[in-house]
Amino acid sequence: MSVLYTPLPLELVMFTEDSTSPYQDIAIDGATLTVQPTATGMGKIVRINSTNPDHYLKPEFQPGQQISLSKLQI
Amino acid sequence: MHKMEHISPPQAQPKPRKQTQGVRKTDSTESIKEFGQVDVPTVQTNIHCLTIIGQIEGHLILPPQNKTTKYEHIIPQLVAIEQNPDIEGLLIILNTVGGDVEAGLAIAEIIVGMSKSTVSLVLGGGHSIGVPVAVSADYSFIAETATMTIHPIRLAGLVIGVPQTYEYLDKMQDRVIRFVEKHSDISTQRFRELMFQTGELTRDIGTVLVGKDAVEEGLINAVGGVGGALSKLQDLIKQRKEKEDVIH
Repeated sequence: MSVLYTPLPLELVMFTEDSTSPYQDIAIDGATLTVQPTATGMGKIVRINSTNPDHYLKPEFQPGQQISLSKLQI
Repeated sequence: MHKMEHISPPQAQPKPRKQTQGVRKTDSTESIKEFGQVDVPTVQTNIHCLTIIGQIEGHLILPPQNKTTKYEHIIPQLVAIEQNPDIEGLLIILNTVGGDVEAGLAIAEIIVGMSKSTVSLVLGGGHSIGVPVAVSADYSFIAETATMTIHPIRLAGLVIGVPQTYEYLDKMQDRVIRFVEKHSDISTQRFRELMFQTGELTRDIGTVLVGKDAVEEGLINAVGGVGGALSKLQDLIKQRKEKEDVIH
């Protein structure tokens, strides 16, 4: 049972053509990164998910960076 | 005008280095290292920052075009912050269009229950279920241009799944109203008035509060930006420490 409380119209929230997400989450050095898999075993960082502000300053975590997906997947 | 530069074909480009660290350093970082400069010293921060963006995602996974904040990410992070003795304060930054009622309330309740100092800042928007999250901090800020939409759950909110009764939605709405009333200076009666105001929203009834309106209504403590929010957080941390010193 789920109730959405949002000013966005339902058709905008639930609209979908392809329900499979192109992204996957990986955990590395205490941060969770959302990555878009590119070549085999590699992914492009899309988003950093961490509360530690220092993670956002790491050059290797910047969105757009290529990262190996062989790290722990969550 | 720029001269057309010669672009080498892709196969002529140097092969990427073997990935040993799992992460490839940027070229600029490499060049800094080539010149023998040291990395920027990392100072352990005593403040962590939680950003709540897009839809707050709860029991249902939303279609991928939605930018979401997932409560299964947020809640363990909040627990980790509460447990970490090095972290003294939490800044919550909101730019959300609302989302799942239960997930939003769960996040808000965890923030209320935390023993660390907390300050929230509404940037852009803190709509619908973003309102209880914004008021859950010890002190709340709103940017001058940021907005908060207050509207009833049953009209704009969408219900997925089993047939819902009117009473059920009313109960859900009461949970939100009671939480906001308890953790801000607004009265239940005034919050309901704002919720059911007509003529302000095109698709719905409700109210849009911009920056200082939210402060005047007693929902948010002050208008401000990130500088103000961080200095308030440092003040709260200091006060908490002084209080603890008195006790010990």
